[in-house]
Amino acid sequence: MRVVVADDSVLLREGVVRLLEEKGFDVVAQAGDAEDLIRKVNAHKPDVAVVDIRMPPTNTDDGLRAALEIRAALPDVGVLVLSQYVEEGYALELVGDSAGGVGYLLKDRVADVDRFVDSVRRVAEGGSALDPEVVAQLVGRARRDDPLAELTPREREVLELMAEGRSNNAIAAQMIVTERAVEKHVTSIFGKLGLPPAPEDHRRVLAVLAFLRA
Amino acid sequence: MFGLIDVALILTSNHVEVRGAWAAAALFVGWGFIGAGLFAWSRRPDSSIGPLMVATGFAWFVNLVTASNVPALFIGAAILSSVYFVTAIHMLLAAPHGQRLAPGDRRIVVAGYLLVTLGSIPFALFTDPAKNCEDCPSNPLMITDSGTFFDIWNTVISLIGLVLIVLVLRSLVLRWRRASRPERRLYAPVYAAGVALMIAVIAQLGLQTSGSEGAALDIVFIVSVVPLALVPYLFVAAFVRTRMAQGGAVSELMTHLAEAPQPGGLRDALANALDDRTLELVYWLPEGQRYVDFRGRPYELPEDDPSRAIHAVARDGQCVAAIIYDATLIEADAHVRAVGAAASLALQNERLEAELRAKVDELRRSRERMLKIGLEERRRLERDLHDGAQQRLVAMALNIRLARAKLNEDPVAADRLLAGAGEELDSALEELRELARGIHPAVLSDRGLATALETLANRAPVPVELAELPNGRLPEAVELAAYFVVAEALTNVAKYANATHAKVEVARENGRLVVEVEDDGIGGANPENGTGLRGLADRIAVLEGRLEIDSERGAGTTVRAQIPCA
Repeated sequence: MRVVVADDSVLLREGVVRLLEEKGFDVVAQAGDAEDLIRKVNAHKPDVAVVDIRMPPTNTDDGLRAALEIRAALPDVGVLVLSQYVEEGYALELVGDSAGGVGYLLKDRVADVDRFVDSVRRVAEGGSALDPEVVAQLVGRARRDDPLAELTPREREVLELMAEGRSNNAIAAQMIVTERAVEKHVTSIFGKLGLPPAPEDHRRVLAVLAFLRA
Repeated sequence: MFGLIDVALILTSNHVEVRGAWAAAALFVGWGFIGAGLFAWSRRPDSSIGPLMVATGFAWFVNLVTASNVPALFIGAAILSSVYFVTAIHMLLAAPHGQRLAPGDRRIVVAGYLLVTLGSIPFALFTDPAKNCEDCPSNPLMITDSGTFFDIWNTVISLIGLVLIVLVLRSLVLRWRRASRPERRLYAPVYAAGVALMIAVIAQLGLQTSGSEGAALDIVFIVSVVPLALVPYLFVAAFVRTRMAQGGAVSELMTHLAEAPQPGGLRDALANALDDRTLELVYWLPEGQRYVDFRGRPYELPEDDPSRAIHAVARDGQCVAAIIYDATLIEADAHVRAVGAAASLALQNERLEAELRAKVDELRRSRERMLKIGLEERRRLERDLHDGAQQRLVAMALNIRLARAKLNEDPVAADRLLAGAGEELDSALEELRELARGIHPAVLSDRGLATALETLANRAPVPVELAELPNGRLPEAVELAAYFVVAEALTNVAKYANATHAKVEVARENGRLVVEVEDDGIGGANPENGTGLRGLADRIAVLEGRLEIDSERGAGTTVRAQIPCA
């Protein structure tokens, strides 16, 4: 899998690159700022770009803007944005109207190597990876007449993992239940929230996010 | 007219000696009072001095009707013959402003009026004037002539009169002590005449009670008429002198102002012109909607103090300054207006200076406050770092060292320690993130207020409705202040309000950003308790904005900040 890594902190960038290469990724280019990133993504057309949100030139959310640009121009390139802070609004903006090939993770997650690599892979393959913190913020948002209150604790857990972009298989593994049980939960959740069934994982993410942000 | 009738009566009287002299004195006193009274009445219609002078003049003429040869006229006038004297006292006590009498003075005057009306009737009932004065007309009211009764009643009335006059004297002396400098200078002759009159009357009454008769009594009476006659003329003279002095003072002030006085010297110049050492001069700051002195310090107008009068000076329809002066200054209102108008340009200049000083002052204060806020925030950061992230990092370091030591002999324990270290690390990172957000939310500088407030609303534990948010970016300081208003308000809603719903509204109005956070909770929030709201108020004040908290118990809380934002 071909990857472009963009981060203005050389130390962190090198760390991520080493980690990904160790896990069998092919890091085709590295970028130190947003313009550099767009240039290199255009040149290499990688499977996925791992992008730090705060980068030169303005050191604000240049990484996110570059990511949005890449998603608009090259829908086949997955974009995984890493951020020092949780900003669920950014995540939702990044997802836009397609949860395919997109991810938003706290930078800290890099330390959890297996999960991080799994997320990169998922995004590269056209899936999604949203940080649990982001999902927690969205799910935990105070609502009037909260329909989420009808979910059982198990269903809530499944909903959160779904929103992160996990597959049923992954959710089953995480919760230590059978995939069949997860499917039953998912059907029940969609029923309770009045959502139409969505076959693909990333469509499911979009449906859940659309529900959560409403 | 009345005067001329009197003159005719005197000249034809059978019982008045020195008729010509009496007639002249009659007109001098009576017309003097009536003329001066009418003059004063037209000048100061709200003052009682004019009417009282006129009344004294007429009462004086009534007294002189005793010259009449007609018995009914004679006795009626005799009964009312001393009324003029009480109206004169009434006037002296009401001088110089003709305001309402003090309660003590009012009692004296009422007693005086009773004494010279009801008190005189028994004389008429029991005395035959013809006994002492052969040419006097007979007394038609006389029941019986009783010399004993006359002596007793005369003594009683005279003693009461004496007491009242002493009280009047005391009141006049007290008033003199309290009088302002210019008041004393101008009204000294009036007071002197009044006191002389009182003393002469005391002597007269003293002689009457001691039973003296004839020449001594006449002399004292004539002596007492002189100060009485002078009173109206002295009053007019004082008034004219006030006017002249005021005119001179204004031109002197103009000359002085042309020489450009020192800062703060304007007050002294006006104090001189108005001859009021207590004068205060303050300037209007339209921006702050308040008055300051020339040093720029805030000043509260003494609006509830009856001893101070306030004159606001305007220039080109704009309030410039206020002159606060002694309310007891006589004829001062018009004079203060003239002085204010003469000095308005100089006042405008000094106002600008005062405004500048006030601004510098306010800046200095807000800088100090900002410094304090900064220090407090640093202290809080230091605490949060030491007690939070650092503690966890230390614990983690400890766990890792222990794990290393046990790695070989007890891998299970080492694994447990490392897992613990990992958890500590997660918590430390979480805390650092929260801390960083508290210092400055990245989304605010990245995306602006609207997006940052959406995040805040999403994170609040009660449902928050975002009613209106500004489009586009605002100055950084304004955005940050508005953000912290909403953040603090929503924190309070979560902590104390027990609310089910909150509403956030941010709108631009007339060069201001108005931030409003409203909840439906229990209310009763007090900015005096708790540092959160107070710190917020300071933050807003630094930007020259205002923070209002409306939190009636049981009626929810509304926090409203207005931040200048061009």
